[in-house]
Amino acid sequence: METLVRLSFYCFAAATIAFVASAACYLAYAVGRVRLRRTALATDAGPALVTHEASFQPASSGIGRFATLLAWFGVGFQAVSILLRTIAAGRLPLSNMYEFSTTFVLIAGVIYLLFERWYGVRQLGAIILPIIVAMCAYIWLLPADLREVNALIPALQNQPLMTTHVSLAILAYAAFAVAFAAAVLFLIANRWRVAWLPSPDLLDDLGYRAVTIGFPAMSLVLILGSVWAYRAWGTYWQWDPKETAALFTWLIYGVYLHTRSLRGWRGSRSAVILLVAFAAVVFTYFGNYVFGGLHAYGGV
Amino acid sequence: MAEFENTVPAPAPAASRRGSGERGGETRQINSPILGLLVAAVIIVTALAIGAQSGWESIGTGGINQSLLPKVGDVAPDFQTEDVFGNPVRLSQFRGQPVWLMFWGSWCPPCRAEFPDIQAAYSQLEPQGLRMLGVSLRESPLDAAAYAGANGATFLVLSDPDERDTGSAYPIFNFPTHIFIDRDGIIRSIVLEDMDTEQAVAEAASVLAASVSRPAIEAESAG
Amino acid sequence: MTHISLDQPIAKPRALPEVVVDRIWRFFCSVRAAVVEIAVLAVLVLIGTLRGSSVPRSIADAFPIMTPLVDGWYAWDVFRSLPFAGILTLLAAAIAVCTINRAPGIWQAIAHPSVTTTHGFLRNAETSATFTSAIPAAELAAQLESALRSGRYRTLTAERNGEIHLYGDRWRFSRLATFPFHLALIMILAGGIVGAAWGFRENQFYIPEGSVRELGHGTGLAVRLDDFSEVYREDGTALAYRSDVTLIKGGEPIESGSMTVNNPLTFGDIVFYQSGFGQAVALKVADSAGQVLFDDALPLGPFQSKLNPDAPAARMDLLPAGVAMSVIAPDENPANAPELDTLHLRPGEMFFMIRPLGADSPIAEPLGATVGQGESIQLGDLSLTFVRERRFSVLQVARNPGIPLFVAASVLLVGGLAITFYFPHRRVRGIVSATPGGSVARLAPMARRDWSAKRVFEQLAADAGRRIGIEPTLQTNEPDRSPAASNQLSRASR
Repeated sequence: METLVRLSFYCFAAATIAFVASAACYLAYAVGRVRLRRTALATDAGPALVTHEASFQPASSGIGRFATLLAWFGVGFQAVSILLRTIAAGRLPLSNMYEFSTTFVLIAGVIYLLFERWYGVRQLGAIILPIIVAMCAYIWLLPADLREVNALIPALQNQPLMTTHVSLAILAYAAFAVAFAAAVLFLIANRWRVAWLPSPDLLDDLGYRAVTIGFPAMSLVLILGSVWAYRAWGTYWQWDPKETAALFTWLIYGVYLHTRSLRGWRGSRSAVILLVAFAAVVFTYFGNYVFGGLHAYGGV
Repeated sequence: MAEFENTVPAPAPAASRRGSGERGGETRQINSPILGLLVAAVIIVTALAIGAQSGWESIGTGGINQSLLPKVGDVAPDFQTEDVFGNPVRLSQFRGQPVWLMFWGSWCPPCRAEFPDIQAAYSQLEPQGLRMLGVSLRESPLDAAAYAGANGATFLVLSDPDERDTGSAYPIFNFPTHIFIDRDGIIRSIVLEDMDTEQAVAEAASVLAASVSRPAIEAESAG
Repeated sequence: MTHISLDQPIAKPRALPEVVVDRIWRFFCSVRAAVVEIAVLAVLVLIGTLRGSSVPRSIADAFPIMTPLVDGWYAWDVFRSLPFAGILTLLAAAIAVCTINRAPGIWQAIAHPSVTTTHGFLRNAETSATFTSAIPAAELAAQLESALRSGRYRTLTAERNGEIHLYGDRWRFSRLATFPFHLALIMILAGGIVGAAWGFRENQFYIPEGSVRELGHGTGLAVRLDDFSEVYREDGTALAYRSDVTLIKGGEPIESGSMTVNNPLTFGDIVFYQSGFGQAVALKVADSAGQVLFDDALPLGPFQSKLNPDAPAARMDLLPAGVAMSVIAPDENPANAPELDTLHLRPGEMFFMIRPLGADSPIAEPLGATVGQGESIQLGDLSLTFVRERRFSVLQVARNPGIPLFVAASVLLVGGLAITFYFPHRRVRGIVSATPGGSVARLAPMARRDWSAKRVFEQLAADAGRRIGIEPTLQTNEPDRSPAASNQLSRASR
């Protein structure tokens, strides 16, 4: 068991390396090739005027494919890491911010790569992979004793509910991260019309599809959270800050879904709401640091 | 008047990078499984190298994998400490008798709440040959003696205020901890909660009974 | 089934009340209003969430001028406030009105969609497919219909001006799924009201080990705590908190059971939860005649003594004796500097104190003394015995008749969402016209700025083409979007 925990950590390290490399490649791919043209206008008295002109061109698809390959490697290593830790702990690693975040990294990677396949666009990776890398960095900065498998406190000892409630939360957050990336790219593509970015309509649709995964998942998180609260604490809704933060997130995505049927809102304004909504997701995710209340456990 | 132009390729055009390795951007190369394996190998070697630098060898030994108390079925590790009067007492000197080893403190509310029940259980078990050692931790021998005396303890009260004598073999993180050791020094049961009389008598039964089956096991292993 | 007349009603002047009602009705129906309402609700939820965090405190620390505002923030219990209840009521009303308002139209679109379309619609559609054939128009239309049907589309046709108009759709009932979803939201609110009105909950039901406590709330039940255990792992982390209880009705034990934190004990519709625990003291009080006034245990902790606010303490009124009694246990928390306590209590000791209670109290001033476990003391007329220390458990007890509503609502909510999102209503319109050489059919999806729907349509057109053996010509329009003007972003610098 000890070896499995250690091996799991090595796999996470490998996944981090792969994700960092992948993020770099995705960024190179999305930005395209930058050509700096230096033009010097020379006179008899020497150079008088030097202009630099940067021109962007689409990157070769090779670097994009390589980015995807690295992302799959990252996901693969992370999957092995989670698998080993699951075997070592006898449960999925979901019980504290360390374990939760390692699983998030995996699910976010998988969801992104699936969307990449479905829509055949790679530029989204330039936003989502840096988010994954940031999460990896966060995991690395957490106290080292969280790398150990710790026993569950009584309130968390409910395997079916912990697995479903927490993993659905991860699924929802990962889908929302993809929606966020789509919204960012939409705003860029809509504003500057960079030709090699996907069409704004595609990005708008992609963001919406991601929300159609995240929103039902988030609904289930709230419902299963209520069920669990009812079993463990005796009340299905406590107005606990983590609960209400999740409700807040859910409501903002509710606003987003309604605005899509409003004339003149679909597109840019919806995308802005997605940005706000993702801020709510981040707030809910890291809220444990500022919340008191019943979710304040798990070594954060 | 002269005009010149220099172009800084960042990165260079694809044509000039053709065949220059993994950054080459050619479908044929990216899809080749050899390249994939190579990349995976580079990643793994890097991870191993970082790990060797950062001392990850100890990861996995903490948390639930921590080895603290001896396990049921192990020989109870010996220790020597003092009773409340300062006389040395060894665990091994009770070999041959079933032993109920309790770690407690008068500062610990669950220990005090169970105290009358524990004493009642011991009063029942003592005539059957059980010896009970109550090791008081994290308090002065005086406090332990005062509480035990005032509440009619008849078991042997030991004191190891700084856990210097027992701490390495019995690192105690929760109070009370009850360990039942049979005549041969084998741990038969470890109870990590406060007990009532009935439960204590039931737990002790395992060490009182164990001696009966013991010769049979020895005969088996001898044969 | 409701039918809506497609003819516009003749406009006639209306009375003011009618106009007001109409305005209100329209307000509730408007998606824009719904968006605003949800946003306001979200803001209130955010305010309430931050109230449960350290964020307002940090704001006050950073900007001291904000302190009064932050204090008000912490003082305002948003979730039990009138504005919060108001916005929930408003949303519930909006959902109800919207449902009533939209249902006929949606049903119309499902049951009796308009089949005819215009050439303009097809021409301007963001994507469309043209099938050219040598066969007569009626035959082409029939083939397209059967191709659509094999793609599990429902098809309807109508003839107008010698052309055949074609309508096909799939998963039309998905449009109704928004109703169960929104109904579920109302049901959740209703469940909360039902639970509050007809249920009960006891948040802090203290029972010391060995004691019996009446539950009340008309249940006729009493609960005896047989044993409370804190079970730990060897590293000192908690494994379980467990209460073993016996339920008593009319003096007879009727059921025994245990509960741990994730496994409540259910008796009929009443549920018992493990919630907390602590230190208790068993004591006995007798008067001078030897009559026992009290023989039970008291939980130490819920009450704070003025003599030593840090120490676990209990208080009880002994009305027949005309005194109030308090018990103080030694303070064991090193953080509270117990060595400074004036009572100098040692483990195994309690400080008992009685105070006068009522006008005819037998004592004139407080009397107190330290008692060891198992000892008795005389205070005034009373003989007080510190029997022993015990544990107490805190249970939560609840009966919530709203639960079935929540369960039903949850199913409707998730089911409604899943159908809405994963089985969207797909619609195709088309016109088949006769040409000199045969016929031509042009199909287009109802998919304005809907990338997925366009892809689905293109796939459908390709499949249909394969089935009838005609390669369709796809045409796309980008009506509200000029093509990307330049690939170059230029920047000059010196």
